[in-house]
Amino acid sequence: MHTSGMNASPNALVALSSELARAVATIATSVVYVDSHPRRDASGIVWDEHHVVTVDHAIEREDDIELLLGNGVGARATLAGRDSSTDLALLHVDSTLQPAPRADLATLGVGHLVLAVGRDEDGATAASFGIVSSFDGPWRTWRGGDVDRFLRPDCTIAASFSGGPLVDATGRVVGMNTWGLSRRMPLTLPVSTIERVVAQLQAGGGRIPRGYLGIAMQAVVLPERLREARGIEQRSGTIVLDVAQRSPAERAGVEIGDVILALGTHRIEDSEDVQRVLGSSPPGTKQRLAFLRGGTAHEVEIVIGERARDDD
Amino acid sequence: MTTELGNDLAALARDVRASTVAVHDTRGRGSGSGVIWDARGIIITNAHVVRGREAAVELADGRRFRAALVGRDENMDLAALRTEGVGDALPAADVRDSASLAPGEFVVAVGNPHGVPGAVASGLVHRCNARWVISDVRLAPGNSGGPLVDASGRIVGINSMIARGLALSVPSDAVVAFLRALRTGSRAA
Repeated sequence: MHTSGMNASPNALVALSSELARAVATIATSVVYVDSHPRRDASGIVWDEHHVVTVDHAIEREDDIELLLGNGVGARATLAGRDSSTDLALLHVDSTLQPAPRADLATLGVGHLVLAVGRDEDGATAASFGIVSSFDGPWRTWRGGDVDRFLRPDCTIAASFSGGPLVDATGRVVGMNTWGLSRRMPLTLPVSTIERVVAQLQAGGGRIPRGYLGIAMQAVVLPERLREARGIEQRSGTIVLDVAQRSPAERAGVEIGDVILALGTHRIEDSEDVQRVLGSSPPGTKQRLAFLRGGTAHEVEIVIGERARDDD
Repeated sequence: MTTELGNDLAALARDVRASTVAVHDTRGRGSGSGVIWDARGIIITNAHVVRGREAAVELADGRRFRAALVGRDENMDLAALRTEGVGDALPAADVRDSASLAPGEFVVAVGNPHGVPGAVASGLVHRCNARWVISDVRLAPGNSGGPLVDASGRIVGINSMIARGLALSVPSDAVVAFLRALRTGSRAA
């Protein structure tokens, strides 16, 4: 077999190929295979010496979770916390692991080369690459989780790559890939959001307490005359459709038909606004609730409750 | 840097195209791609590309040759053809030991997808074992039998099929073993 006239000396393409393979080798020791679900294989990222982060949607068994580590060795893990709103689960492992290096997102932008890395059930490392195709501001998942950046790579991401890292060209983690945040495409949970959620889970005993009012509501447009008469600037509020029994809203005297205008210091124009305030209001805190009843303004103090576990 | 990359990729594509052929099955309508494995005219393609005892082979420069089937292995999806009357001057591919491939390496597929001659697609090695080199290269029908090469243009696999969006290529080491078996007569068709 002869050489096809190709210049065999290293060129930019060969250098790129070596760099990419090196980036995969760098992160591979911190990528694990996660088996906790009869049908959903997932990967995971070694977050610190005794913790792995992965996707919540691939966790079924909470105590008997099997991992395959980067060195091919098996390990047992237990669930240390989970947050379905951001599709993140935190696993605890007794043995000492090799934490993944993390990237600084300040230097990341659309067009940067990124790699998606996973581990399969045979323990083999798998990788694909692409570019950052979207890198935008904060967004909220369909389950109400706050994510600080919208990050989407164009790599081929197999279902078993869910929970695995998206890394930059040097092998540092920029986020966790998941098919659980959008039905149409895989997205990446940025490393900054993982840091925040992990800290919340560790502080909250494995779950993130979410504020609860106990009302069903819907956005309503405020009539022009009413806005002028009451000096209301906002164009809409949310009307209370139902009040749960023994809920914080019932205790505060909220009734069906009340039109909520503000919660705390935040203007409420639709139900998303309420969720946003509750997301940052720990249970037990008091908030001012301003609303219209029969065309006149009212104000009550409401003690934020905690959403029942079943609602998670 | 991106200009350099683009130039290198174009040079690589040019060289790999020279040793990639279109294979037309003379019996049916099937066609695919193949690789000039050595200068004396051995062409490697997929078993599913060549159904009959002979095929027509078209080089990148437009030359056409008749080729006779030398051997076939349906399990490995490999077939070897010998072109007739070409002497020993074909632009053969440079071959790399596929066992040395690492996940994350850059690879390029060249072939004739949808009848487009010399089309190029690129991606990364996902993983590799003795049976398959798996990559995220976007193959299309017609890529079958064509080369998967590394960043230096050396053949690491023969593109065979697409499974769950990933490209499956027969490792070059398996092609070497296949040809060795043919020579020793253990698997002649």
